Amino acid sequence: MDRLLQAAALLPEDYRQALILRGIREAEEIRLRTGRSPTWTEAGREHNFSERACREKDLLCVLDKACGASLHSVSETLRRGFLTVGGLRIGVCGVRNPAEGGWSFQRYSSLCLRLPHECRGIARDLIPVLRENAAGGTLIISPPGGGKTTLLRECIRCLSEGGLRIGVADERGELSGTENGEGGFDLGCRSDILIGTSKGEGCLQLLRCMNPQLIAMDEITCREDLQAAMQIAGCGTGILATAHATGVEQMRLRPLYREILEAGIFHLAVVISGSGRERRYSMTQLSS
Amino acid sequence: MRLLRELARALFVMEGELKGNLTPLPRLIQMLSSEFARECAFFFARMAERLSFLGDEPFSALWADAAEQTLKELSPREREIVRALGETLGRYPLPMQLTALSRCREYLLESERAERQRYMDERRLIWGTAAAAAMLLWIILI
Repeated sequence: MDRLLQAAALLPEDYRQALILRGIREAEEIRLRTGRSPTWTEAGREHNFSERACREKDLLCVLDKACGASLHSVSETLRRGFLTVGGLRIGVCGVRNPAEGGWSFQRYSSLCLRLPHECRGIARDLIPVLRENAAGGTLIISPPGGGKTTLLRECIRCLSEGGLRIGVADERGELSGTENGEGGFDLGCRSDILIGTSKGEGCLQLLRCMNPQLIAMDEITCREDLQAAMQIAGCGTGILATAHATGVEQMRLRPLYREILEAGIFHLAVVISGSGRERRYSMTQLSS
Repeated sequence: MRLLRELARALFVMEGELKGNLTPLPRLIQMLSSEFARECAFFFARMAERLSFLGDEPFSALWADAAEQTLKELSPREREIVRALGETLGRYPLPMQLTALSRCREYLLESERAERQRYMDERRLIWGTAAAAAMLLWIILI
């Protein structure tokens, strides 16, 4: 299913029509903010697609459709500020409800629907090097919205099709993009996908139970993820992960990432630069 | 009586699914529409059908509409109790949803018990009257 249509289906009727009438074919995000016109994002720039300002009711409409009016079923991710539906990640902002451990919101003010992409062939030049470096670790680096997840997804598919047994720790269901265990992106014929557990826990579970040759995970963001990466690296299994930064030098500014680099878990970095169709991928050797 | 019993049973399944699996309501309703006796399945089938309007209409309105359309056998009070359940489902924290489900189920079971008792009393009255009439006839004939 076309991801833009999938996202449009969640919008209120008039917004859905406006989006379709504008003939928008590719978008990175759709954003709704109360009191403002809704926007769609292309190459990092936002464009309005309707004159009518959003009301909180519109945001509730999107959330109701996304979770099937079942906030209880997404309470764990909503606690962390997002929910996922069929690979589509919806970031939520507003006023937190202090009751019930603060998982829900009293008021909703912004939603950001991030559309996942499948770009076949973008990893063609990287795959031979990644395959050679499979036992070591590879880190894909770019700023938020830079295309890390899309590249990671394509790398997983190609490496898996190429014969590697890959365990995918897909915490938010964004990599596989499945809904109720069906459909979603093709991650190759030798990929075992674990959805819904934290990356740290998921990686260790994959390692114990699925005997992977490579473990892939999106966005190393906290100490738990780092510890999981260290455990994987110490077990002879390769690791393929992503991190937020503009380059290796910027990574050194963040204590957690500096620790990652110093630990020597990752031997290779793939840095993504540019935006939209102009993305470039450069490889840097981190250690041997 | 059967509808009350089946509805109570369906609500019990809902409680279990929500508590144990955090099942989203659309999947749960789909499941119930194929698992229960006809009268009860009609309600969930109608609800499943109306779920395509979710978002444009709130869940509670769809639930109320399905209850109005398919649970005509219930008394107005019982229907109102079922309708009110839709105001809580999916919207509030899980413990509140479970409490609402449990209260609704208890009310329906209580209604079913009262109805069964009334039925038994009526039957007893009919049999008693018939027996008395038969005895009177027998005395007259003698």
